[in-house]
Amino acid sequence: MTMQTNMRPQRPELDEVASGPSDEGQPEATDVTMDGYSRRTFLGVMGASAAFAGVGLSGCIRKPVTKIVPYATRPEDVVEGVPLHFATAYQQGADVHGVIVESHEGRPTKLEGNPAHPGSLGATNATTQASVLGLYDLDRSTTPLQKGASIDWTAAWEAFDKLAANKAQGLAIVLPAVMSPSARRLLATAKTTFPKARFFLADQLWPANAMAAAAAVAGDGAYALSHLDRADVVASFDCDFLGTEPGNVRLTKGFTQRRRIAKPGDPMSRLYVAEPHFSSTGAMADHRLRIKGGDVGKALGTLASLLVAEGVTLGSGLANVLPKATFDDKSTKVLTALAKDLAKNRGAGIIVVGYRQPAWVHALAFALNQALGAVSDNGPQTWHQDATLPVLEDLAALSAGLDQKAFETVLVLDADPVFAAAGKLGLAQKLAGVANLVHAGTHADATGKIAGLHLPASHYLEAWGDLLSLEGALSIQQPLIEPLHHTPSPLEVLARFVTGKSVSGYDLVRETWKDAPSFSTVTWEKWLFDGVASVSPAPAPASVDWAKAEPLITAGAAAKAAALEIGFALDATILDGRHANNGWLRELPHPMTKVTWENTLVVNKATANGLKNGDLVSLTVDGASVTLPLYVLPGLADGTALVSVGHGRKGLGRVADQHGTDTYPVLPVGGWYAEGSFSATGDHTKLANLQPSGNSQTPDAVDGYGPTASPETYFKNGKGNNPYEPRFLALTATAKDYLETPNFPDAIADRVFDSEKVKSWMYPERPGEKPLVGGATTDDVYLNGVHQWGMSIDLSVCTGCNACTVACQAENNIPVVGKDQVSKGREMHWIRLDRYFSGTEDDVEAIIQPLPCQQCETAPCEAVCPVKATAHSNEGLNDMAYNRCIGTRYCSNNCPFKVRRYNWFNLNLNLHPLEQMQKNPDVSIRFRGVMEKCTYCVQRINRAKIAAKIQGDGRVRDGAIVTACQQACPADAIVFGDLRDPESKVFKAKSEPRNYQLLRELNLRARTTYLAKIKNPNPDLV
Amino acid sequence: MATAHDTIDPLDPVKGRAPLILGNASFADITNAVAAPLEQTSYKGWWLGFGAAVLTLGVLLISVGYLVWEGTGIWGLQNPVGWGWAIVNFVFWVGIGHAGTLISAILFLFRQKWRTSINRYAEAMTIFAVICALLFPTIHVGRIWLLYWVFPIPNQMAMWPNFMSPLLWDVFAVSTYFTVSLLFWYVGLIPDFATMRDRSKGLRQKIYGGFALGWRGSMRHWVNYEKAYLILAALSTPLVLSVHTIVSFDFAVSNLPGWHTTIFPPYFVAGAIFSGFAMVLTLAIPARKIFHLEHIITTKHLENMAKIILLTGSLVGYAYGMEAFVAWYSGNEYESFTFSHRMFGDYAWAYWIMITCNVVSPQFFWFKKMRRNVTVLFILSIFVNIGMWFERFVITMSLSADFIPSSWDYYSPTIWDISTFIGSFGLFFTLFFLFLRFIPMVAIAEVKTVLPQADPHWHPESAHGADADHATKEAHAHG
Repeated sequence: MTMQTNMRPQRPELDEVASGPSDEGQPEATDVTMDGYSRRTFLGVMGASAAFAGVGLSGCIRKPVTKIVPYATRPEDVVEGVPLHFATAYQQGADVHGVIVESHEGRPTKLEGNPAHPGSLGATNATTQASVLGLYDLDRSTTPLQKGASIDWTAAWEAFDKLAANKAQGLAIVLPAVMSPSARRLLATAKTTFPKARFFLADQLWPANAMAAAAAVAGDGAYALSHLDRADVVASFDCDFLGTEPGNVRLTKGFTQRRRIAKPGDPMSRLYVAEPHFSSTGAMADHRLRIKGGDVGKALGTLASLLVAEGVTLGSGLANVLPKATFDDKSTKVLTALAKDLAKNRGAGIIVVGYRQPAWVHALAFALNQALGAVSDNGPQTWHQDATLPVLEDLAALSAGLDQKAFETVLVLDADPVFAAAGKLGLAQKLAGVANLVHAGTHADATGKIAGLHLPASHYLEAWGDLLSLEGALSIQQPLIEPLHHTPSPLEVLARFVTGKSVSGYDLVRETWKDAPSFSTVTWEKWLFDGVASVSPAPAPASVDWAKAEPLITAGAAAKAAALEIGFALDATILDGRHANNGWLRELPHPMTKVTWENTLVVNKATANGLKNGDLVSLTVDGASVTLPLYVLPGLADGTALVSVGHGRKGLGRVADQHGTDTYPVLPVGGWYAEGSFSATGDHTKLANLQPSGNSQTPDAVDGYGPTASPETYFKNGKGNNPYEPRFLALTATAKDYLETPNFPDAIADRVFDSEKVKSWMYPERPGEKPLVGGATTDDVYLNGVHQWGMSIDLSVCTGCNACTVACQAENNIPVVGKDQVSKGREMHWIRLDRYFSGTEDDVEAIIQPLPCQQCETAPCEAVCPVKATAHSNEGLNDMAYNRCIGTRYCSNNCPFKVRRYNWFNLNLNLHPLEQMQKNPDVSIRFRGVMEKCTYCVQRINRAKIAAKIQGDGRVRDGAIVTACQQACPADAIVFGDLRDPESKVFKAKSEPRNYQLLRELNLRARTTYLAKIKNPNPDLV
Repeated sequence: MATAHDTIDPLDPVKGRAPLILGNASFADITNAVAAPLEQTSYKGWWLGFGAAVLTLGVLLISVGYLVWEGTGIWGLQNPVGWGWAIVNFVFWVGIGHAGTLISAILFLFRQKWRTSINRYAEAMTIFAVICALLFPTIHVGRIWLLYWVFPIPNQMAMWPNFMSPLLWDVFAVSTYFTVSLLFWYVGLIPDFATMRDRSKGLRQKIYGGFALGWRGSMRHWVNYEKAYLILAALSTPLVLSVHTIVSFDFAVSNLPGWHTTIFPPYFVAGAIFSGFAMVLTLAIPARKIFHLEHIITTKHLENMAKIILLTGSLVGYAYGMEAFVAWYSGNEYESFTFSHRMFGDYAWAYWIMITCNVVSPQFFWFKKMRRNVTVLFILSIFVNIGMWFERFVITMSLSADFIPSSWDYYSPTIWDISTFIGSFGLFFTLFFLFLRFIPMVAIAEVKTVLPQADPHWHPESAHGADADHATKEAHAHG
């Protein structure tokens, strides 16, 4: 294939590492690698001896015979053991994330965000991070199917070409959001070659309501982008922009930039959230209102009226049609304060509305932002219009068209409308009745199963393509690997249908760009190398006519919220179900409920009406019902329920088949909220909850969840006056309190534990000990390494998005254990996100605390291991020698943080070769009976140390090591580095007064420390 | 027996004490009575019991086999609770294994002559209980085939175990205890093996003869025997205290609230003696009945044990109270939460079972009537056994809710946890039934030393009862 030669690796410095320095008389990297191999061989022999020794005791542990085939001639750029990095891009819905893929000997194993790409800005979210696992999905479709029977490719193409040859037929092309210029070019061609063709969008991730509102006022192809890094005041109306909202990575990056403060008194933005359900964004809010989804628009209308009263001029008579509603005192107070805040911060305040809200709410928010001066080139909101953005009809139109028998052929590309569409549309029956249903996708999904012809399609990591993000960044997608199942890409399938010729994806993309002014062989190479060809945001729309918003608002405002409102949402981890067969994402918890593997009907205590977590309920919406477990979460509005779509995608694969309930049958058409009801079935299921109890930092609080762990709680009430003091875990403070008492974490710790007094007699100093920073020590007899590693986690910006957990899973070969094991408490995540509530059931706050291994200097786990399987390095790492571990689990018992993970079974038994391909060769696979845990990505540390030794003085520069969790984090909450380097980021972070150690009184001297969460409430509301 | 009490003269060293062995037994009577179960021709009852025990042992073998094959995941263990029933059972069995050596060694050193009737029995129980105890830490490790790494075996990689780990101390403490207890038991058995050798024929005689190590009962043998026995008793005595102290270190040396407590060593030792004596009672009461040994293991023996149970039970009760008091008084929020969680939280049911069985039930032993009522003794001894198992369960479950609330979880056992525990009784009783069948269950030679006839001041005329003459002859015959 041409593929290999056309690929351009990222990070040439690694190549230099590999070959360059040998001239300078330094050891060749290849020697290092060879050394590594010989060491491994040695260990292999040792392992074999151990296995033989074990035979007598244990029966037979038979190791399979495997053969290693070395390269006869070494491919260019490939040094065995040194990964290469390639840039490509990934699309889901309207989002395009530029990614850099780590490739080991031709196997892509891990994704990282491309810093040059405005959609990812060097980070990823959990779903993008996990998309690499989709490549190695064992349930991918491998052969074409004709009416469900396998056929060979020749026959399949023959049938396909025959269908494509009929140009006059009624044709429907169903596809996800078209962000690829090449696909747009092909669709334009299709319009002319197939005069009767219609195009439909099957993509629940597409922000259809926002797009519709923008299109209504500014014409087709118009859209608005929010830039939260430019906003002092952010008002979110049912917009989980830190969660599943389109653009979440970019928005998280931007928002957290304004929440991260270096010292007390630094300015930070303020976040107001009005939402029906408790989202990650709600957990970050300075002020949060619980408002039913159906009333969110009215709350915005009320805010608009208040803004008008503040002197804000709304365009085109909109002020006369504003919907109003009466809210309780708290909500009214907050909305009034918000209006004042926005009016005061004109040009620096923005209102964002979520994808679940109808178009009129978006339109109103757009108008308000305009009126507030938020819309400008450098303002918090920018407007764009991309004329090439194809106008696609929705699935309701497809359903109507099918009713009219308008289509002889329906071509479904990379989408599953039979599954991922409102059940009321009846697409399953209607599509089954189409004469020619052709489906191309990675899986023989629900649509593929009923299709007359199903073609397996390539994963994006196997395909050439191009993606133009809404931010205006053009990326060329380059394949990382030859298609594993010899499949065409969806783009190639589309091209063959439209042009009737088989054209490779490479040629298709080159064809699109060969006439671009900047195109040349050289720029092409650079495009591939950089991962971003150009960034030019689409221009603003020629004109915006706010009068056109008026009928929208008038019509929408008339709707009333339902008595019991069922709010549907994209799933927090598997979105619309596209990742239903991805074990990493299925085992990720919902950020607030912490339930894995399945979706639940989430309600608050009042709405639950006595039902408990795990009680099965029958949910009925508009005559259709599904049965799923209930989950009681505080902080939801009364009379509203949250349920996610995407689960229960049966028949897709071995992971998707397990657990979860398909809620598409009850999803309303054209909206996310519906009137519904639920009733207990009397059955109960055990939920796989990662935080089954212990939801509060004040475990003995009898009423509600106890107070926040803040200076206010500890100091203002006075000790003894507050019967239930929260534990010293996830600290928070207002910006004002932080300014007044900058070192409040230490002050609280001293107060709670009297720790200085305790320390003086209980923990004598060790020989040569010198305090370093953030409670760490160095220069004592044990910690004498050149580097002293440490990590700082900023609770101010952590949103609980789970990206770190997946990144860690991908990097460190962490197995998926399944719902049954998770419900027993045996999840393997090395970094978990603890979520604590405070306050009462209704007025609740949440704080998220990521918890990896704390790398305690005086690690309790080390002392108790009978075989010294876990020991300290002189650089402050709490190392784990898997080979030495015999599995007493004493270390885990003695770990105060319970971050150690144990292999209860042989979780890597009989790994399919495809599954093996994903594994990171730098990290060993753990056998059963072995304890494992976060290592600060020791393999990355060692790689950087080797590079530093080869290249220079052996000192690793700050930033040369980025741990997997740090790299993925879109909030930049995690900083890792050398505590001995006073210029390092981590040193600076730990020097902040809000730095603190967990469980300081145990004298653990943890190397992972936290920066307390600083909130910025409106002084008017305190 | 009433006559014995009537004629007590407190100044007479022979007649001045109530006899330990009732019924004016002669030396021959003792030998015959103890040897009888070993020489019976019909073993119907024994086969029944032994068969049941072996079947239960089969449950253990299957459970352990499956465990080794699949991994520790077959148990109910999980992330916060890394130790469950296996460790509970380990401590439970080790605790039971305390009474034997205590009775043999400490009571021997304190010249508590009443011990002779029950020491063989109790020691056997100790050995078998320690075998059961050793089973659990062995099988509970994740990679059992590498367990030998806990031993300091010199190797070319200079890899040593971690001498800081209480688990390693356990390895030494329990194995030392087992070795010394076994030796102690065996040394005490030598004269009795010789007796059995002399009473049997054929292969049986050869086997008993082998174990008897050529014992002929010469003065020189007796001198060496007494010395060895005394040395071993002196060696075992500190071990009785150290073993459970070190077992308690598994918990106390960790930093977990509810475990990290200085009271643990004495508290665990008291608890071990408590449970050990209860188990001796549980086993001895039916055995003395079945094998007609009521005159050797008398009500007085049972009563003495009940007194010890009352004492150690009160010590344990005091420890419970003190633990809770310190948890509150220390002002340590983790500690105090752990205790309120124990009493009123997820495992409150286990806590109150423990309190009822261990603190409340022994209180009946304040009353002599209860102490001498065999049925009450039997029932209460079982209560204590249950309570002591729950004590270890309650302690171990401190894991379920420690420092960081987010990781808290509820542990419940699986069928395999339960079958392994039940199976361990199979192992215990299989060994015990073999013991009853093949080894004199009462130390014949030692019991004879507490007979009035064995006293140097004894004269036939001072004996009361019908067969005094017979006893005299026996006494002379045995020298």
